Amino acid sequence: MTDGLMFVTCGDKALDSYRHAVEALKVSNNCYPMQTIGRDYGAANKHASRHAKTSLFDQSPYDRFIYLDADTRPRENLKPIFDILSDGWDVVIAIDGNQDDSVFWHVDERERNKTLEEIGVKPLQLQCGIMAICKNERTRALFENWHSEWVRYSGEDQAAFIRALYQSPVKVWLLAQPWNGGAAIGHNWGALR
Amino acid sequence: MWIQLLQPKIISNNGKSSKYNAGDWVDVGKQTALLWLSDNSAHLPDMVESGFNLNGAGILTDHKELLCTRLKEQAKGIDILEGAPCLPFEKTILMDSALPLRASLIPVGISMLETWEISVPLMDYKIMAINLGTDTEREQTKSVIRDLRVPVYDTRLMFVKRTQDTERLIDNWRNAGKSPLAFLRELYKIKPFILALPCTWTTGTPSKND
Repeated sequence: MTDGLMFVTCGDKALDSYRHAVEALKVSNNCYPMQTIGRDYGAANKHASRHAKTSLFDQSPYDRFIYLDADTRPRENLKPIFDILSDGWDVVIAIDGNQDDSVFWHVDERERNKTLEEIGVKPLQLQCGIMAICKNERTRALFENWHSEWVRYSGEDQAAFIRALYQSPVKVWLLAQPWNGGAAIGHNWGALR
Repeated sequence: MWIQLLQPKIISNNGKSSKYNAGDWVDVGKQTALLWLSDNSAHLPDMVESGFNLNGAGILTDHKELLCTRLKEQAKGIDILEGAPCLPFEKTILMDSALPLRASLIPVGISMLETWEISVPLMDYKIMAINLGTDTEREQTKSVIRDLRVPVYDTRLMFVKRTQDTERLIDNWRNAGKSPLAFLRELYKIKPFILALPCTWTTGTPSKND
């Protein structure tokens, strides 16, 4: 089994931020192989980055990978996350800081309402800016659905992820905020917007 | 699905929007009904006649006589048993008798079991395993789950479909002392398909946006 890190870098801003992320990885003693996807698409960078992110399963050369937004800053070794995958969990992901009445706050209203109506419940919001994936048939189905759900609105990716998750259940181990926007992995939210 | 509104709603039907008031009965699609029941903008005074499939579902609680009367009224037609945690029903709602659960959440939680093996709310969005238990139990937990900076489930309410894995999970958790950290340890080892629910399912208090 091969482990590695995946980044999406569409545009100069993302590429610059990615370089800082790589520095942070070195400082925190993370010597994993890594791969970036993307180039500069100009005004279409945001759209291209979401397209690339929801296609990570096919793009990743690694059996187990951690996807990191380019504006994340790892501060600790990521081995515990890979260990959780090797123990048999399909997806390792942190819960979002925005829940309940703030769920999908950044998602277009039409997509937000449609998502809630389709899944029939206000869900626990997950933060897709950092996620660890073990490649298998379940996660393949999840990513296929994530991509096709994202294509429906072509906006943000989080509501599409939740719709896909409710269609293609996987074994999810949850992390708390220190792993996304906290002590273990910092996250400069919105730096790439 | 017929549900009774607790809040005014504007409902579109064949391109025509109509306003409905609190107290009105409306016939909506299943997913919309579930959403409004879960966010408390509608309720089901009589669950058995509601049209939701609650076959094989039942409640197991620690002290049956302590369950609130309203819940027992609204859930009439659903078997309620008393005892230590186990899975006596095909779909078991394990609940603490002291929990003031809205009965309308029962069909919503049960419907989650069409996709998932177990569905449990989080205790809170900030509380982590590292904040709970004794030093010894935290050490024991860390040796299993590898990192204690994880959210914790509120085991006062669990919707569980009976499978080999979930039976093992509930048995092991009960035998390990029924603590929230014990649940995390057994969950980590057994790995059922679990859906975490927002903590409002048990606290009823929406989180403050950070």
